[in-house]
Amino acid sequence: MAARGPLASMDVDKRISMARYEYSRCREAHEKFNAFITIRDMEEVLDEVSSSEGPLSGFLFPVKDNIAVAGLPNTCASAILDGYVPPYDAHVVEVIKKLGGVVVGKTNMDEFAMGSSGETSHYGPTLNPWDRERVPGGSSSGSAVVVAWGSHVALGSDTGGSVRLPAAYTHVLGLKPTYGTLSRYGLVSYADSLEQIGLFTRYSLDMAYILYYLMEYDARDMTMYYGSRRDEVRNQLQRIIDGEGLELDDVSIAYSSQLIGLCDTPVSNMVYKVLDRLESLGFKTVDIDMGFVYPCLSIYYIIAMVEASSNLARYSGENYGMRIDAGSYWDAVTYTRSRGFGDEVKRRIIMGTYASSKGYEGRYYIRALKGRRWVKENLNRILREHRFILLPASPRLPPRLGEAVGPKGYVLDIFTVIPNLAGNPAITIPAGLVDGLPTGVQLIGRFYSDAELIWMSSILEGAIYDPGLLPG
Amino acid sequence: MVEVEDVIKMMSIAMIGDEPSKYLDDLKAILRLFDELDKYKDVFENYKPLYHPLESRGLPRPDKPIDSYVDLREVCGSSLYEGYVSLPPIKGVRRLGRERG
Repeated sequence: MAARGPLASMDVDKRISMARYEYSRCREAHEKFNAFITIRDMEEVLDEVSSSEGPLSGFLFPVKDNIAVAGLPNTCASAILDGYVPPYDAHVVEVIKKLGGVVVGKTNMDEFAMGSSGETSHYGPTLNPWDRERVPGGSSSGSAVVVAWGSHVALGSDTGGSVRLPAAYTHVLGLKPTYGTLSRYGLVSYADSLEQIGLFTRYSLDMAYILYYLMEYDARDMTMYYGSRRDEVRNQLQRIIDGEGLELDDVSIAYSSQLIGLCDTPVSNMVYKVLDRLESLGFKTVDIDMGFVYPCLSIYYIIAMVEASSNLARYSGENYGMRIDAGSYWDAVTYTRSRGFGDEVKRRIIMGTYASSKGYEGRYYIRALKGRRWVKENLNRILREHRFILLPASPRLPPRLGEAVGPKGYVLDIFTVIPNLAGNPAITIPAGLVDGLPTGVQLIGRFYSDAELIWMSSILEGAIYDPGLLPG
Repeated sequence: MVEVEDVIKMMSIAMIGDEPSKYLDDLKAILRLFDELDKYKDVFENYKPLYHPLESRGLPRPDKPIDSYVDLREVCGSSLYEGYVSLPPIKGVRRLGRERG
């Protein structure tokens, strides 16, 4: 199986036959690994493929269940949104449909994207196709699994690594674009200042191709960047799609042996192997001090929980999904939220409320926001000297089911939260298997270097990983 | 340190009715993570809070005329505190709780 890239010129029969195969892989991923919460009927999907026209015609899109698709349930993997069907499409879904793509279903995830293992879903955990006893990473667990199992592309969202971590744990590419590149209109909010819609693919060409179209400007997202840099990124993506590629001079890649030393041995060995390979390809690698990474996890979790406690206040049973009737308004809301939210969501709401409450706000929330600026300045200082930063995508191999639930799983995000705090783009590139388990490295780039990151992944495609490698 | 009383208070504010002790150990673990920042308080104490990675006021939408925008600071007449905008009281809305007594 090869990269898809442009398919518009392909005849209808061929498109349907490819879509039929891809649908069957999605269905298998659903049945074997619990990758979907909602999956559409095959006939309905193939009907749409046969009548579709446009540059995305022939692509099937599994969409994370926190991105609105009109007419399909949007549960965010939570009981509290059970039965909620949005009447509108998210902007990215509008673009997909307009350009001929077809949504195949809504993928499983951690409840409200809160989790790093794919286990907090009300609909049960997603399983890792490389080892069913292990987690596939989260929160975009289903989207990662379905791409690992044979789909070409899937949509996820990345708040603190929710695309890049599962990408590493399932051996696929995962991109968190620069903040403001893709419209968040229709993405259910968890922590607005951190999250972005992200993409999973197995081939760099597919990543460039899909991103090129999805980054259409949308005025409904007030945080969407509108300026000339957007056109520059699209021009670079166009060059990758056309096969011209990018010319990046004197590429210097920073890494930190101190941070790599924090990882489990198989992971640190893998990162050094990738660094060796990069050097053999002619890239300069430089070991530098990245002490600013240590407080990132605290900063990230304080900000994310505070924003979550505010964003999730809207789920009272009045407007969406589940509602438990009780004697008074207060009782109804309290019962609804108590039964509707899972334990991890409740933990984060409680601690977000705590960290932003009077008396503690200065010590926690405001201090975390100050730390965020410090992190951003440090990150950008390094990126002024070096074009990319290379870090492991996770300090551990995929944990066994149950090992990473709750606060003990937060450490898995240690390297992925950094670009979310600063807004920079980052990509996870698979790095082969260790003891039969997938691993990956993360490249962080400068603002609007999304195309450069995809170009780097295309250079490493075949050099450090085989994109055609499927589990099982 | 988080105690049961704190958890009860926060759960009440967040309108979550559940057994507080069920969460206590996990919340203490999260608080230890939060408290890690104490080690860095002198490092970034003088930095300005960063609420948003782009840290810029939204650019005017290309599909709306510039006249349709208002400067929020003019409307409010003043105060910007740590990124929060203080809005003037809305006319015609009475504060019921305060007026009862």
